[in-house]
Amino acid sequence: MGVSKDEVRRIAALAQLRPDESAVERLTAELNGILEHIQRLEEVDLTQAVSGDEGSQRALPIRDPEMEPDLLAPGAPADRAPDWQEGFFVVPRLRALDRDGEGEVAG
Amino acid sequence: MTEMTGVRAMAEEVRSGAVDPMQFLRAALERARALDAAERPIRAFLALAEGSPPSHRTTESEGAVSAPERPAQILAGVPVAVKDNLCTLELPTSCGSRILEGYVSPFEATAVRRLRAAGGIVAGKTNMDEFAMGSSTENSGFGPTRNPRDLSRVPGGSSGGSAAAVAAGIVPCALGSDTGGSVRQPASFCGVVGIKPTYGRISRYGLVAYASSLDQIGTFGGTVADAAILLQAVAGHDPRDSTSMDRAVPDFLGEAERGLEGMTIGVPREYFRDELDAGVRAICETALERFRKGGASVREVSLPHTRYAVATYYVLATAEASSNLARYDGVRYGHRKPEARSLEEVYAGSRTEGFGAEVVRRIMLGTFALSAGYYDAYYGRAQKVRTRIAGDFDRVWSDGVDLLFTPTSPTTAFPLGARTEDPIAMYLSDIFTVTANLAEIPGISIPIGTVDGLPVGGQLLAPKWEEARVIGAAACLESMIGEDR
Amino acid sequence: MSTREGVVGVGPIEDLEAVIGLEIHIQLRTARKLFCGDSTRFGDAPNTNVCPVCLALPGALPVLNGEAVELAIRAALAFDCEVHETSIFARKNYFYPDLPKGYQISQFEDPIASGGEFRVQMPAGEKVVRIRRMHMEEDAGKSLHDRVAGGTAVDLNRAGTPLVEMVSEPDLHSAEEARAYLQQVKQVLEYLDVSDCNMEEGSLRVDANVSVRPAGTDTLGTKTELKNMNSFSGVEKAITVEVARQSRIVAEGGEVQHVTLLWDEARGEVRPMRSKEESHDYRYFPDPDLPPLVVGRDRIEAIRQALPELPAARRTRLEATYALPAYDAEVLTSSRSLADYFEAVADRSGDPKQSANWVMGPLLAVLKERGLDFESLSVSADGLAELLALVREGTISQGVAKDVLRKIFDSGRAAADIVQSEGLAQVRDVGQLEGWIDQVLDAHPDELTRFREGEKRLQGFFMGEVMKASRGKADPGEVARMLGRKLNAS
Ligand SMILES: [Mg+2]
Ligand SMILES: [Zn+2]
Repeated sequence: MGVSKDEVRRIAALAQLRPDESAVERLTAELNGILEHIQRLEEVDLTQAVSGDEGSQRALPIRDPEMEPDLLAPGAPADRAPDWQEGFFVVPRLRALDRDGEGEVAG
Repeated sequence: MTEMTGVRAMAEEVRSGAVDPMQFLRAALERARALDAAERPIRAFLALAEGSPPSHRTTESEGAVSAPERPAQILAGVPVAVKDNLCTLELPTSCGSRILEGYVSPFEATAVRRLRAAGGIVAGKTNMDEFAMGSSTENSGFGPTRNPRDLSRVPGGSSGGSAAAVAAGIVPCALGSDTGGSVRQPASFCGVVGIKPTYGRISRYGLVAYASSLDQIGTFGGTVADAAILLQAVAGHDPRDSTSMDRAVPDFLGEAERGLEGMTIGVPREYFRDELDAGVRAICETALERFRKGGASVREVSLPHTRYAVATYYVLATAEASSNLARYDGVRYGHRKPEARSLEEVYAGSRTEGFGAEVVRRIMLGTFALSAGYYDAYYGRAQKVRTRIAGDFDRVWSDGVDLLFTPTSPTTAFPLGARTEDPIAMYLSDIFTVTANLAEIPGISIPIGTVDGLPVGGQLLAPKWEEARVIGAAACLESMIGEDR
Repeated sequence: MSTREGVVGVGPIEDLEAVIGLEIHIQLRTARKLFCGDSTRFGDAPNTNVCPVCLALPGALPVLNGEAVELAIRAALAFDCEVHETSIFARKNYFYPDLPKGYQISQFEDPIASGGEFRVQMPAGEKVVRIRRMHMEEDAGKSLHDRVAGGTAVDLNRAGTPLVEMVSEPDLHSAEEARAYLQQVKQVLEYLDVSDCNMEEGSLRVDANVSVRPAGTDTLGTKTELKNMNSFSGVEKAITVEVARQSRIVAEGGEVQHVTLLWDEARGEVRPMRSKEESHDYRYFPDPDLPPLVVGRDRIEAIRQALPELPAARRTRLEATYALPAYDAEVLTSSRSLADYFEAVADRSGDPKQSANWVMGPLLAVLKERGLDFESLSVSADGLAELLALVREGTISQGVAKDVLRKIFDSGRAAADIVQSEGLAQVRDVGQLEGWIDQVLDAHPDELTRFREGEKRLQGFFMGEVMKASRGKADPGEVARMLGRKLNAS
């Protein structure tokens, strides 16, 4: 199973990366090389389920209701933000009704 | 003159008042600066501490993460190098990445709080492969680190800066992180000791995530004891990390005196295949001979799924990384592409400018492995193979094997630039270390000899939570090697 | 539903049925966020209830809030879902400015609960709506598009607030049914005290999946997803508009496209959201920072035992215990606080029917006339019971009592106190009543003549005049008796 340059472009868009043409070319070759190595996982017989197949064996701890949020150093988060205005993080204007990641930004 | 005589002796001198608490720090900074002023600088550090006592802004929160009583000052006055992916309040935490250049964390990692609570002093932040992705420290966004044992070679990675800082005698111990061998392999390349404890032994809170299910903080030391004492200071449950284990912390050096008598040491045949470097093989044989002399029985065992470990590791680690690194989006902190005029430019522009080639490669692979139509074939399958790799180890332990011994890396340190063009060759150099991360078990790498003047590391592995066993056996081997010298 | 009216003259006329499923996001009423200790308070200064975790700072890790789990299980049990002993938090990956980590922690393949059922009172009778699943997830922050010039402002106070997403099967077949379902879900949630359920403040948010198909078939047509409906009436209107739109397309022989649509309340129309294919690939995978959530059977059973009485059970009980008509029981159980109030009044007054009439009638009327909701009611159950006792004893008339109720509202004084100090007690003194009656008869000789000539319905007129003359204080029963005697004596 290999990937095409178009697929590499689609994946880059999903990951919010913008490789130029030569980078797409290089990444396509590199990913195919790595995937070729990964191919060997198909040799493993997984027909017999083993304990642990369903995921981690530990159980999720519950937070102590009294535990306070960790403190932020003075000035944060404002002084770390690339664009901070009137108490808000600011990004270039989005249209008002686009939401939920389904719109606007991918690709 | 201030000598880095080992953590225990140094802390004792400070506690007794024989030396000024800042004296070892000043000596460390001086040495670091001197080495970096040389014609071929080591550049173990990305940032060095001031020579003055750090302000203790977080005294209260330290209390929250430490044992109820004030912890013993086992690191009193000891300068500790800290990998740049551990959050510190005093110095930047950039993870070796341009996307976090100059970023100062507004909170501190639990491990860092604990080392300070034990009296340790953060000497500086050490260079690393960007976001811990690499095996040579050449993937740092701020230039490579040189191996103190041979300045033309890499120190290994990703915790190459921490390994080099210890190897160069700047500090007696250091913190790193180990996701697929990133503590043990550079320890091997630089001729120092590196411990990767059981997953869940040290809190990951404040460790910048690469691959959350595999990441574990580890320690370096010039000796087994130095690495073990640092581990003692930082280990333990943390309610801010849901994967940290609520489990008593033993005395990690408690088994060092026990000796090797009656121990069964397994040698996995899959780690000693024909293509293994002959020099490395010979030195491993010598180490096994010492184990036998020390009273251990050595027997060959099999870990049949070893050949799938690197593939499994790269699918799982990159999948998690692709999600863990989504937060670097230029919105709340870190690099934003100047004059980005659309949200798309803020995102893709900042990330493309900020991430180096290896990080991009792994995000791409991980995004692919999780994407619609591929999830089952890659992520889902790798997850299942992971349980089989862990099962290999379980079988060996229940067959009466106490410890496994392997080379840490198939080769000694390679020249700078030798593998940067071949990602797969680089990935395959993790082959002996990734299995411990996949199986969540503890491991140690200790220097067992040299080939052509370059250090070779031997790796000891034990069942989960048996750090004291690997540390004890490593200490025995260390002292036998010392006697023979 | 029939679309005959909607498609007059276009192509073959066909009966189409709407198929609707609702996804409801319920904000849980916890003090702290789902994975960190920050407050969930609404309306604080922006970006003040934030910490390393909900800012997604490098190195921060999530730790689960047990109160949220408790509330989620409570809700799941109330809708007859099976609560799973093991559930798994997963990451839903997408980029958005108010999603700080670049993923939302949600549940995907292993939700906390699934397979429920909810009996809904529809205009045409009771109907079972199946609940596909309920899962826990964290809320995103808020993006404000008109707050700073040229930019979108992001406030992360809400980021990390616990939500339960409740997904129904497509068992609803009209906008009215969808509304009834939603309203009754909200009612149950309020009884459970798991959420504020405020659609305007966003603590209850609804998306609808809508499709149409030929009536009587069980194929599923291509569905559209409707978003941005901010009120119950908005949900009903949006679905009505969308069903009509789809029906028109089908009737014209067209094909419905799978799109996400936004309801524009001001224009009363739906329009497609700009969307790109690849952005729908959320790449869910189990969150490696959060091992599986395990809740023991015992714990689940303990939560079930502690469930409050739900609206349906309470309706039945009120009908039986207080001998109330079904309609009264339904109105009185519309909210838990109203039902509690009614029961308190009925128990104190000992007259359930009178209590029901007064709570449903004058009391709600005064609230409405003052523009108040029930939660801000200032008349205690004791206060109302006392007033009702005065009516039953005949101390005051119904009419006077209504005025007294308003005065209690305004002043907070006790009923007896108001009646006493304002001299409102009913007059039954024969002499005084006779005085008012004679005064009225003297003043209306013409009407009296007409009455005696057979226009008997004028008795009501005299009655009203006497009450007026007494300024409402005359005992109407006594007046009627005396007036009858006087008018008919000649
Ligand atoms: Mg949702
Ligand atoms: Zn928070």
